[in-house]
Amino acid sequence: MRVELRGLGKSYDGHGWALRGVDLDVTSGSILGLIGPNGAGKSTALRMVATVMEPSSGSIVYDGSAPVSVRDQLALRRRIGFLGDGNPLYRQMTPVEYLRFYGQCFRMDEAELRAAVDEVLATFALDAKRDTPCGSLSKGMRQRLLIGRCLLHRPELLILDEPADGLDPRGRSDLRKILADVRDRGVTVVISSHILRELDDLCDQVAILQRGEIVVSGPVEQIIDRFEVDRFVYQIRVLPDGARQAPDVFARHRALIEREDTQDGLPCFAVQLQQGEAAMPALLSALLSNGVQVVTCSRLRSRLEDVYDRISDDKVN
Amino acid sequence: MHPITELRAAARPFVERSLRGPRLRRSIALSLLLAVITCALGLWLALGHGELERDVREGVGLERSIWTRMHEDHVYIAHDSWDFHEAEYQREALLQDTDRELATMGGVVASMTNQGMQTAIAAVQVDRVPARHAALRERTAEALARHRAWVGPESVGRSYGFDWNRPEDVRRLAAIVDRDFVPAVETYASPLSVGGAIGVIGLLAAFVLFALGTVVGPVLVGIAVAQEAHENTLQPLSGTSLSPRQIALGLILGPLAPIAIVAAPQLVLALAAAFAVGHPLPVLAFLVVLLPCAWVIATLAQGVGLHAGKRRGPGTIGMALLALASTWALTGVVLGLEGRISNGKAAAMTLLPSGALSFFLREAFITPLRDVASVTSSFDAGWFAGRLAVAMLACLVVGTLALLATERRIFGRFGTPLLRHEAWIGVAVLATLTLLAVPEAPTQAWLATLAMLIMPMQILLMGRVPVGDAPEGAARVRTGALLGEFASFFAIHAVLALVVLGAGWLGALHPLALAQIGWGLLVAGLVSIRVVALPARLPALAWAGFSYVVAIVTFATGAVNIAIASEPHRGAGAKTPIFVLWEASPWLGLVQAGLTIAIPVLFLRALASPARADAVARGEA
Repeated sequence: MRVELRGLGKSYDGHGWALRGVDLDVTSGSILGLIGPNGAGKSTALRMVATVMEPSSGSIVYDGSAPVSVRDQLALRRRIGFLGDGNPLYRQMTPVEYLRFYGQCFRMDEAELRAAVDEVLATFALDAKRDTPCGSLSKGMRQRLLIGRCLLHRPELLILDEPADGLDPRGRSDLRKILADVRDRGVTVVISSHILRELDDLCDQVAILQRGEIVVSGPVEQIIDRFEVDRFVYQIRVLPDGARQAPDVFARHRALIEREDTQDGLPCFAVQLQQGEAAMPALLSALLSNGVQVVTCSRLRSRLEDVYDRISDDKVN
Repeated sequence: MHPITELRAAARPFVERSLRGPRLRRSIALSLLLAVITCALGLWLALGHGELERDVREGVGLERSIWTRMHEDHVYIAHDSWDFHEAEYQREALLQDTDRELATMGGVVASMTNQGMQTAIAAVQVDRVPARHAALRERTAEALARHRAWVGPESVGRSYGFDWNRPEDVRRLAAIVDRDFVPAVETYASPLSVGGAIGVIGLLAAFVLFALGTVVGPVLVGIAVAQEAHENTLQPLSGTSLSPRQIALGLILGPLAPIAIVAAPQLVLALAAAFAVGHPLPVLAFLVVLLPCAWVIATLAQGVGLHAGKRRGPGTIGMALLALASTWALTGVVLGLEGRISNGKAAAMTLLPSGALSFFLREAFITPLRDVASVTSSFDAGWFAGRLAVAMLACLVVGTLALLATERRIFGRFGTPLLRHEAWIGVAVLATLTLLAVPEAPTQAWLATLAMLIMPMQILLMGRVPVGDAPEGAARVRTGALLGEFASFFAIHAVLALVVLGAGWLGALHPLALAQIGWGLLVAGLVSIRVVALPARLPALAWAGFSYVVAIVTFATGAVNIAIASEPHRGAGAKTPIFVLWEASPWLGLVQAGLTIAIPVLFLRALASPARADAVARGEA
């Protein structure tokens, strides 16, 4: 499902805007990541896309048409899976009962529902807990169940608000795989998260929201490339003997050390060159002349997190 | 899609959720157990000889007291076999000894015989005997002549009065004469037969239906919705294919599903018993009234659960709902079962339909089983049926309005729970019902119905105050417009009062009283708007409560002034107090005068304050 947000805005109190002038185009079968600090308007945007909140301005177009009536919205919701923020679950219900309840709320027929419940329980590794009350499940299991509920009725658009909350590293890894599988089935995914590493290599496009407005949006690679232009970070591995002198040389050549660690037993520096790529030969030469023997030197590609940090810093500044 | 299909789609998830796992089996087992208990309890209460069963039968009018039975039927009721044989022995001795004065004999049988003779003597001494009782008088005189020796000449009929026009006296005399003055001796037994026992089972089953439909079911609905609101589990439902109306209906139908299973055998028992005792119509009328009552209480309980559940736990809300619904039901039971039904009582039963429910059960199962003539009722059945029909219509309308308000508030979206025309419909229906039901003179009826409608109209006004996540420009409270709507409610009432009561009450109105009533209503309206629109902080609520009390006192003062003016010998020019506290002390009068200005001004200022917008933004409104 293709989703277009046109001038979308939301005001809760009639004075300030929680979201304003948001234009986005989410192509069918892609994953859009919404990034932003708490209060940036991510949840508000997702709720409006999920049709559970009315925009104060603008419109949302799904596959070329905007719902105009309540009936349209209800029909549209059968094509949308939405996981809002917070984790409300019926504690006395078992996962099977919970999924059946929501499947019936999506008007799934009995045979389809049974098959879908079994599939979701298997996909999210909840088979062994199918008859355990939800209140007794771990936080991660509950989160998996909530995500599974959104996929139960095989939506064409999946909207997840902070889905990785409560998941352990393994759970997060599994979630990424599941979302990739979902995308491969042609489902459009809109996901919000403040843990950027989750979205880095998963999203096809991202939109960074700050104070209710989109700061930047587009394909991940394009955004990184765009903000890579004036950001040159190199990873330099040196022999241990020169590790003490290296920081002084970096300082003299205005190379900012971003990270310092050890790789394969050798000291490793991530340095950002303030003066650009042209300063690199001089730096390498200075290192060698000061007795620092360089083993490897490679340019580090920026990550989404770096881009976000940079944009955020700019905003603060 | 067809409404039935829509309803089934709404009911399916919620009903299955309520009956999931072992819950269905448990509900069926409970329903069967309850049916068995109803039958066993009914048989025991109807046929048991114990003191408790007898007290219960006497309490609901199925049996006369032992003393009344002994007196009216001229029979000695023995408590046990020893007592029975002793009384039989005395009776045989008395029948053998026909020449001795009763006063010289000992024992209860001789005493009762003597009382019977004294009653008979008093009866024949009455000069004017209705022609229809002439034969009985003749038989009495003959019997007295046969047994003259039993009574001493100096005490004849001295302390016994007799009224030939009292059916009870005539029945007792006939029994005395039939038994030739000597009382029969019986061991105590329930007066009810197996047929009567079936009736008692039906009565119990119908009261179980009454309790399930108007107390247990609605309370469960309120608790279920309160729990959803409290745990924020409604929010995910907003993203499903069910509309808010379907979810609101489902949240009623789900908790009621186990109740329906438990109620089904009781319904069968009640109907079967009604047909068995030959009075099915009152039971059918009971069911016709029960459904709208259950509907309105369930939808109101749902509204309360949704509104209060965000701040209070479901347990607290359940207790409050149980107290309210039980009070409503028990008041109706007392109203419908006790004493004779007058026009005033019939009017009260239209305003309190739980009374009508009890009344129908009394007519179905108690009146036919009484072992005395029915308590005579003097009311116009056609008048009652017509008003009750309006009351049921009001229940359906109010229940539907409550459902509409719930479906609009269920996901917390901005807007008014009720539309303007919906509030007007609610006012019109309630005003019509009260105006038709109150059997008073026009002025008193106008005042009484106005007083009755203040709180319902306040609730309807609360439904017109916009709440939720507010779009641009909508967060400000339009107090003036809302007060205008509140005034329109009373205008509707006035127009309907003119139609129903005529224009007679207009003559009793005078400007001062109207100003007092108007001020009271203005403050009542402001309190309603404030409670909904601004955050609920303790000092503010205390001030609102105090202001409301002042408003009610002022309203009552105005009403009293109108009532005084409407008295024929006082007239409209009668002297009436402006500030009622002035009568107690001028200082208190000054305080009241100050409050008259301060209260509305402070409310209007608070509602115009920017703090309101902040409250909405914080989600407190």
